[in-house]
Amino acid sequence: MKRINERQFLILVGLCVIGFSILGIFFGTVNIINNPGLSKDACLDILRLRVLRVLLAIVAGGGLSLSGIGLQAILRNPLAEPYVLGISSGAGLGAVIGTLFFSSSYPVNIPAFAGGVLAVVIVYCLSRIDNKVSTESMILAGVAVNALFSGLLMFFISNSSSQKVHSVIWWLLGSLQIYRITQLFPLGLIILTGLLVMFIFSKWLNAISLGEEEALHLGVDTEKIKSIAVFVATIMTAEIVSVCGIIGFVGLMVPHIARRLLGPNHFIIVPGSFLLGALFLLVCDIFSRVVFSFVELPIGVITTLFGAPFFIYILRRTRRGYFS
Amino acid sequence: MKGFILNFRLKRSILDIVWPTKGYLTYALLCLLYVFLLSGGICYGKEVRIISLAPNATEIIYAIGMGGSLVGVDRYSDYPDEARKVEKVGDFYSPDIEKIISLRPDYILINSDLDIDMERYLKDNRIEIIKISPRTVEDLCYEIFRLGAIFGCETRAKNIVTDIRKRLDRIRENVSDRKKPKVFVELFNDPLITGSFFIGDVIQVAGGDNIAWDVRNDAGIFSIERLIERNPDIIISVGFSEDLAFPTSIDAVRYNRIYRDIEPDIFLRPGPRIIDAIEHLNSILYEKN
Repeated sequence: MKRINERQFLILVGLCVIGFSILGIFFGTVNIINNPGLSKDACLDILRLRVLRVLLAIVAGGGLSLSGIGLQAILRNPLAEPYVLGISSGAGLGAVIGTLFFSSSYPVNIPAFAGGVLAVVIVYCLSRIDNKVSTESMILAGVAVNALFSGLLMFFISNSSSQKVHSVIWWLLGSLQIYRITQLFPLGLIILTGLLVMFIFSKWLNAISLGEEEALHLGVDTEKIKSIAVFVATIMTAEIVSVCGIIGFVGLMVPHIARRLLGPNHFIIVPGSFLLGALFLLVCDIFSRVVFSFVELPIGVITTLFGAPFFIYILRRTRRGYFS
Repeated sequence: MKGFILNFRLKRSILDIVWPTKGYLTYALLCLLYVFLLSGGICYGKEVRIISLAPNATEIIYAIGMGGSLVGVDRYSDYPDEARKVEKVGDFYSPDIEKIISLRPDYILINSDLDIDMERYLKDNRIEIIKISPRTVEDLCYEIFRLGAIFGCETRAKNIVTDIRKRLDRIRENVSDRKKPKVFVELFNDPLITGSFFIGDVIQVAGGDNIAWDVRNDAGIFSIERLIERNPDIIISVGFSEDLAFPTSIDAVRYNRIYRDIEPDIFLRPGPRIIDAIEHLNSILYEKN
């Protein structure tokens, strides 16, 4: 059998995304085909909500994987993922502060977004020594800021009234269901921009993932590329967290899988990981709605439950160096 | 000075005054007095000390008239107003063990299970732990009785339960032959959270039909698709979330029957005030029929 090349693989994954989107629109918690108890209006409402949900799954899954691939390339660390830099705890803290100190009619995702960005700005400033950002100090600073913000999060949670605590904890569970198309616009715009930037950056990402010295010799302004890529990855993740809550593991796992399947070239793995991430979240979401329709699990639980074994399988099957 | 002491010694010790050797009648009377004082002391020392780690238990304790015995409450116990002045001992999932020990309680009332080691430790210290976690309004009545029996306030407990039952009967008569409206309770919007068990039973006795009967939790995620499919007539939004754009095919949205004026502390707490919430809910459910 002839091995398919990377381009064909990308097209195949793209087709899968389209196929599963259609599947996701027609199958879900409620059976809409041949259901006499459902009025036409109700059917249309459900379809509309499912379209929004499918679109969000594609955008969020793709966006998280994109941030992951960017950060792993720049930080040259296989454990780098959007949440390691403190984005999730920053967003969580923002959400808590938003819920506790603003009125309840105020949307929680704006402070969440601000918190996520703030966390990464702190990490960036902390790890900036002599105008250079070393990757090790960036990851260490990320761990420290993560711990600090988680601590503050617990502090606020344990010092507030029970109802508000509940709403924050529920919000952190995350959900892929949105109700208005307007919630999707800013997110979609940011993710598309991110995809474009990452794709344009592919050449430099290739160079940097060889090593910073090598990239410098190739004439790449590594500091500039690093800061722009970190900024783009942060904005994407913070926006996703602010809309869907925390969806673990996608940003860490999908880039690795993409690298294993598609090789080291970022021109291929940037769109590849976007599509794979979209596909992964889409499948998880369909699974949660069809198979677990009686419990309705938070999406983060499913991504982790299904992602981890598959991730281990992929890692064991192809033993190669991380950036080879 | 020396003379005074000498003089005092001459009159012998004070014991002679209290414990006379002459006059058997006085002797007997004094004996009786001692016994009386002693027994009074025992009774006084036996007053119970209660800590409540659940707002609903606090409300029950005050309702049966044992509020004076509360020496500690959790942070969320805010009703009645006196409860705010009682010493705070943290909340149910992280109570302050040092404070609890220092308050020397005889009983601790909880709503959900304590940490197992802490529970064992408290039991070893001869503190009785009572769990008050009713799943239905009937359960709640039983719990009020039980607490009344434990603390010797049967009459007041019985009065409260009788009052609740009487008001429930009135509601039942009111709604018996009418069609039950389908009700959905929204606790949070993103993700959509609703309640079952106690909330479901409250809706049931108020004359409604909880459409989220299959949620296996006090509070669980509910699919918006199911919400559309089951099409509630009435949505009760319990306050602490922003406006949710419910789809218009839902009858409650179409006929503008989303209610936000329910007090969550009364509605969600399985305590004696629940009957007020039930009556309020009942008036909402049947106001337009």
